Amino acid sequence: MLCVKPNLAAGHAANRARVAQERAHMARALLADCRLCAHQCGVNRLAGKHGLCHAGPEARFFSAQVEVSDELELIPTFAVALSGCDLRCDFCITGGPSWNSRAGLDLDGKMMAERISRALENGARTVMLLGGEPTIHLPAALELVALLPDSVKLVWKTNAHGSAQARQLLEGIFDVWLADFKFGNDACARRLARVPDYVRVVRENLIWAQEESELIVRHLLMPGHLDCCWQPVAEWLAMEMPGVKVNLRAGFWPAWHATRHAELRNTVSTPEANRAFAMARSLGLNLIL
Amino acid sequence: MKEEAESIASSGDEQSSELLILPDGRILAHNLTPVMASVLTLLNPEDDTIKSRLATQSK
Repeated sequence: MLCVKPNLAAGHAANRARVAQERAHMARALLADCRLCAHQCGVNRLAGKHGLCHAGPEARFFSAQVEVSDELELIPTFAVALSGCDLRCDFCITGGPSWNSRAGLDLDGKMMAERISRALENGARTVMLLGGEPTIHLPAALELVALLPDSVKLVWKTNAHGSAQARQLLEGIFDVWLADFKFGNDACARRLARVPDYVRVVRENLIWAQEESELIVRHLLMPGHLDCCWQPVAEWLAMEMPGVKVNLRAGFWPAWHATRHAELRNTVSTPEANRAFAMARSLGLNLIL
Repeated sequence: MKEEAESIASSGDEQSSELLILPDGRILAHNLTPVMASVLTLLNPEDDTIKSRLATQSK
């Protein structure tokens, strides 16, 4: 059973590195009964057992570079993409390394911290941990944070499918949660990402993240999913999180196994994108770029 | 050259962006690096989306 000492106020604390180091030890021990994501597999990753994400005890990364395609308020960001994910989205744009936790290179925390330091010196404004899904590599993520100055603005880019246990470990560590709300209903989530109970879990994570840090909610508009996915997501955000920053992205392309699904074999049409943005405006969403 | 390329790859220092060029001429980009953003702005200097992303680098 996890017991994390509270309480860091919203926004990270001045002693973040020390707290992250303590939490990293706890997180690593918890891999013996892994319940970091909402699948709650309960496998012993320290003993070589694999849950649905197939991740082992050590993290690997498949990309680490300065990027400018995220939200304007976050870029340039030094983005560290960890291999492996607990979801199986057929349209994942990084499907290969996201579905394979062994892809990429070993994450050497000290070397990565040095690269981050150089990137910050050269003008990066933030550091973003993403995946795949970083939640399944929480021990390594916290170990990396422990090596970074407390002044660095940290972004947790997540699928918002973490468990309550993961949230406890993350409390007060990241300045910004950049969270996906991909599906507006459980049927689409199950069909396209093989995940049950999706909507409830994501809502729970978003509500927590809004209380705990800055929150930006992303939705990748998918062709043919405006009414079943975007509309319910938009309506829920308008109702339950008025004013939350929302980034509606219309740049879907049929990557990875998207062509398994007839409606995902194309990009989003201009009329469909226009309708989606009109819907957002009519609901009063706080759209950001 | 080959040895140099392998050295870069094994260090994880290589950079990559993915582009999808649509039949109507639009370009979708993923994992856009500053260098690739500079290249794209050469294709269409008036594109506000890319201009705004380049502008953040001078802040």
